[in-house]
Amino acid sequence: MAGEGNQGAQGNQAANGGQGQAETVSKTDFDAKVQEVTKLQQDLEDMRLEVFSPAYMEFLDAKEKGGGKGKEEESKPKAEFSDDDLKNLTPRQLVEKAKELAKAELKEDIEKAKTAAVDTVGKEQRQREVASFARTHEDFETYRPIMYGLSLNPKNKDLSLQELYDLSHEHVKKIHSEPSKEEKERQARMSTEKPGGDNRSYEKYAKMSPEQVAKESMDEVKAKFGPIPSI
Amino acid sequence: MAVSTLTEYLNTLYTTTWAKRRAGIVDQVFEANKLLALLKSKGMVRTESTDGRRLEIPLRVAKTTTAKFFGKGATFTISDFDPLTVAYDFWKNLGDQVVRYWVDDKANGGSETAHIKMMNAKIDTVRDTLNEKVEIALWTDTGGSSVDDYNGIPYLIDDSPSSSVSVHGINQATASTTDGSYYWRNQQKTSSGAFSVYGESDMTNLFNTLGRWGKVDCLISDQTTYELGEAEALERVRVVNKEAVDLGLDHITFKGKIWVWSPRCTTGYTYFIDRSHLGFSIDPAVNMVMGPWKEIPNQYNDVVCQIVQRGNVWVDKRSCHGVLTGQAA
Repeated sequence: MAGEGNQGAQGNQAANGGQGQAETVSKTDFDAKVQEVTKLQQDLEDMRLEVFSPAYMEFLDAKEKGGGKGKEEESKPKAEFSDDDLKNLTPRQLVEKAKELAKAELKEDIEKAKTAAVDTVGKEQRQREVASFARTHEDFETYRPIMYGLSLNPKNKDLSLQELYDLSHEHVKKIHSEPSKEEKERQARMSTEKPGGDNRSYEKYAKMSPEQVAKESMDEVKAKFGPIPSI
Repeated sequence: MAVSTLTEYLNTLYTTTWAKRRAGIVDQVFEANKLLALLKSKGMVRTESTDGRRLEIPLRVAKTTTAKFFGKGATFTISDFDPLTVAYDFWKNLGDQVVRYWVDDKANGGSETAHIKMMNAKIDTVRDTLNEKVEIALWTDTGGSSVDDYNGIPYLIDDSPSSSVSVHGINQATASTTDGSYYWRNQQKTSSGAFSVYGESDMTNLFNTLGRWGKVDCLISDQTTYELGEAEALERVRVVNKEAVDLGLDHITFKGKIWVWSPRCTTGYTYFIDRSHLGFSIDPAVNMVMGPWKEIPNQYNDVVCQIVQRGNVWVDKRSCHGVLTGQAA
């Protein structure tokens, strides 16, 4: 190919003989340039192979399809490459790549260790806090499931144990409360009440004197029928 | 809207007030009577909604005859039996009335205070009268369909248990089980002599005898006998019963059981009662309810209304009750 080029250039020079001195390149220079171009082409191909690895191409494909796989792939160590990839690397590049991979893995291990340490410390602290709270609140175990349920509500995520405990008591009161002595007596009397009778009125009137009851009746009658008629 | 007359106005006022005070008055009647208070405390004042003419009292007197110890290959006689015998009695109606004279109503005129005072006086009087009637009925030796009042305690716990008397339709003289025992008789013991000498031993004997068939948990005497017992008790140590204290009953105890007195109880008698087998049933629909106001014929705007209750006292086992008679100083 180089011979043909020289021949072509010489032919052009012969054809342009009468029009001044033609540009010429020495064969040594030409060969050097050709070598340089070849090397650059080789480097470019190496870079292409390095960047556009099968894993990366897969990631790009997944990204184009909108899948969530890319993130997982990103979080994976970058050590996934084929033997072919390594074959094309220079020793220096291999060393650099090995260093990068080692650093990445080390960093990842450190992060993991940090997270685990924080988790353990936090868990122990929480356990201590809960145990301490249980010691000071006898009915804690009773209310614990309710407290947990309430804590799941995003509105309550910042509440302390005490606040959750108070909230659980309020919650239970809303749903059910232990009947009072008066309520138990009222229920016991229900069987003796006439249909349509207001059983709850008993507590009210039992606490009132006969005069107070009579006065209340008088007020009710007066409100309905007006003042006492004269005849 | 206005009612047309003073009488109608006051009718409404009385009815309204009674409706508010009724439950309290029922309680006061029961609390004022020591026996009823004790029955109520034990849960033996029951409400029984029934439209029937008769009060049903289920008894458990029959026993199976097939129970036995057995050896290898033994056989059982297969026969069913009805464990329930139902005794019947009648609902009794207790009532009183409130009368209002137009002249009185008119005299009080437009004064609310005067009308209220009059009304409360009338209602309280009715309550006190009913208390008294209940007490009298409970301690009268009558019962059954031949009388209108409740079965009395002396009727249910007879001082002559073998005499021919029917209680809840069952003749105590003849009613017996298959093994020949008289199941419808209460226990009775005549005092052996002076209370100071024999009182304790007689009572102990009857108490223990009754222990064969039940569990005596209260004693009721007349005032004199109770005071004899109180004098004996005070010489030693006085033990109080928590239930009686809670009920506010002035009492002494005999073997840890409540001992009270009742003004209408037969003189010289002490009744030993197992409250698990003696009760008072009330028809809840007719429990001190006030009826309509009615004009009294030929009287100008004078009106009357009745307040009534339906109930009766019963026993479902008699052998666990007893009476000690003839006690004296």
